[in-house]
Amino acid sequence: MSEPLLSLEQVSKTFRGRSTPFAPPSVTHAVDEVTLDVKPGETVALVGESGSGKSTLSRIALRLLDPTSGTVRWDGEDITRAHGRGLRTLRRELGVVFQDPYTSLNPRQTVGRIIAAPLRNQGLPRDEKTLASLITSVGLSPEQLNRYPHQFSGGQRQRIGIARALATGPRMIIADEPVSALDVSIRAQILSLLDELQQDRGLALLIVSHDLAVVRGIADRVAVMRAGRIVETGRVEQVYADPQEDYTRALLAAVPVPDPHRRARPLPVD
Amino acid sequence: MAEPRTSVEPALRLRDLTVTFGGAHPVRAVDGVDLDVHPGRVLAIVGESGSGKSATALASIGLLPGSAEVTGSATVAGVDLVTAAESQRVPLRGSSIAMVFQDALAALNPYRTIGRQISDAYRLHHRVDKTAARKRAVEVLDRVGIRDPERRVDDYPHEFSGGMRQRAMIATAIVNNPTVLIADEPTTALDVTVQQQVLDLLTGLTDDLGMALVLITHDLGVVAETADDIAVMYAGRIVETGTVLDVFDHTAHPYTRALLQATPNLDAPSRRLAAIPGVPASGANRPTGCAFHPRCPFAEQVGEACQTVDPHLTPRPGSALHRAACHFTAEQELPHV
Repeated sequence: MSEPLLSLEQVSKTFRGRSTPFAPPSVTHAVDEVTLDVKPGETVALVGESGSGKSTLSRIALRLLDPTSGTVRWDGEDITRAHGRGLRTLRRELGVVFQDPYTSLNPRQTVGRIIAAPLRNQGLPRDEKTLASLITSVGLSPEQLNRYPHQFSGGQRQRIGIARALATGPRMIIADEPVSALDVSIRAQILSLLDELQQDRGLALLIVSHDLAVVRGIADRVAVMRAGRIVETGRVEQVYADPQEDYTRALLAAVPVPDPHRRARPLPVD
Repeated sequence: MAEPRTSVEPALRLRDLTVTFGGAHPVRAVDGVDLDVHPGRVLAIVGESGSGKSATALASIGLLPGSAEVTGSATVAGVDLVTAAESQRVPLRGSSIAMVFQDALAALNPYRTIGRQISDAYRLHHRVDKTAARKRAVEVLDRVGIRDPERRVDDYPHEFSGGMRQRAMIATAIVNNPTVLIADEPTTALDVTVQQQVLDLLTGLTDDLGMALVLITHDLGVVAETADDIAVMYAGRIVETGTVLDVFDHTAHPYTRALLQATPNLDAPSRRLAAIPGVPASGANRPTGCAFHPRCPFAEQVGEACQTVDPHLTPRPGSALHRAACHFTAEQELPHV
């Protein structure tokens, strides 16, 4: 088995509220001693309800948040306390796709400039040919590099966000709720695109989602989070077919099934 | 259990409802919608962004801004809310027809207690004192499943969780026993476990109070579990309508079919979801002919008609209520996949 690319070991994040003269500060254990590995070429889904700590965990993995304790390793190297130049490799090798394609693209920059930003940060070449090949790889055309984000639909904007994440030729991408803001008919397009890119380029992929149904078709492994902890983890087929935890069972049971013959409410009479 | 709807007067009747947003480039958001919603039944309006589903709801209850031009009719309790004067609409709004919104935090007033907001809604339509109104607020909070309502009635919205706020908003909407309740994406912002509870609450109210529920959603899973009747909207028009079984078991519009194939099903074997190519059309960029033709896998087989002739809703065999607007399925059934 290959060594993990991203490795979170016993990672915790505690947020402290303000203390008052009469009460101690409130303490929130957003992430509580979580251990999670992502291997090269593997797709892992991190699933949980709001407040479960899944986004906090992904921000720790991206080194956008410092963990209170625990270790973050990238390709075997401890980067828990790395800063500035120490994060240069991580920033090149780990791409990120955000949830909201409306607020995560600068409205005053052309698509070409948006996609080139990570290349600029890394001092990498950003000639027209590079940008053209990037935008083509996400199903858009090179002529669209000169347009602005408002000229694109939600699905197209998410493609732009993915092109930006791919710019530096990363080994892994973290996508935080990549389809939850999109129309149903568009979600499958974006999930297929992520899946194809993952396979073509051998990328590792960490998808953070509240929706168990959405990630099932694309993930290899799933980790279910609740109240800051991973309560169950395993191969997708195994967790979905035979969940071991009550919480996972409850989550799976609550997902609506698009088949009226399976429903609890009686069918209409006419 | 849904009431049979034969011979029952609809609680809400839409006829040729059309909404146009003005300006230099007028946009027809809703284009000639006909719908009947019956007491004790759940009608799901299904559509994506730009389909006109929310504009249909807001026009039905007369809540669109003045910049929107509404024609056609929306009849509740014998009054057409489109042509009626505001003074005629006000007594109906909240008492005969009420609405629940997606974002409860934005819909509730953060400076007033939950109880105050519910009793205010009650006192708009009932001449009672504050004590009686408060008693009624406790009663409906209990009905929507808020535990310890006597105490929670004095809480502010921020003291409620997301699911409880949605329940509180539902309480405000049902306090006057409306005949029609419109719920616009009421569970989209909620976690799945809470979503299920809120949907159970809404269908329970429909069954127990004999309300007509209009559920606006983009989630076909939610529709399958709750709806009696369905109207699928695309680019401002209804493209398919019928009972939940008509639409799921005998799908007659390629767009409905495509939506179903794009919807994950945890009860079925895992498969890659089928993407719908292209971009959703809306009133602002409506293609000629059938608005779905640029994304439709059957348009090529039909030929020119799809690009030039606007299909009308026509009956489909097997059910008196099933209708679809499609040139392909007017002649034959959709092939099995």
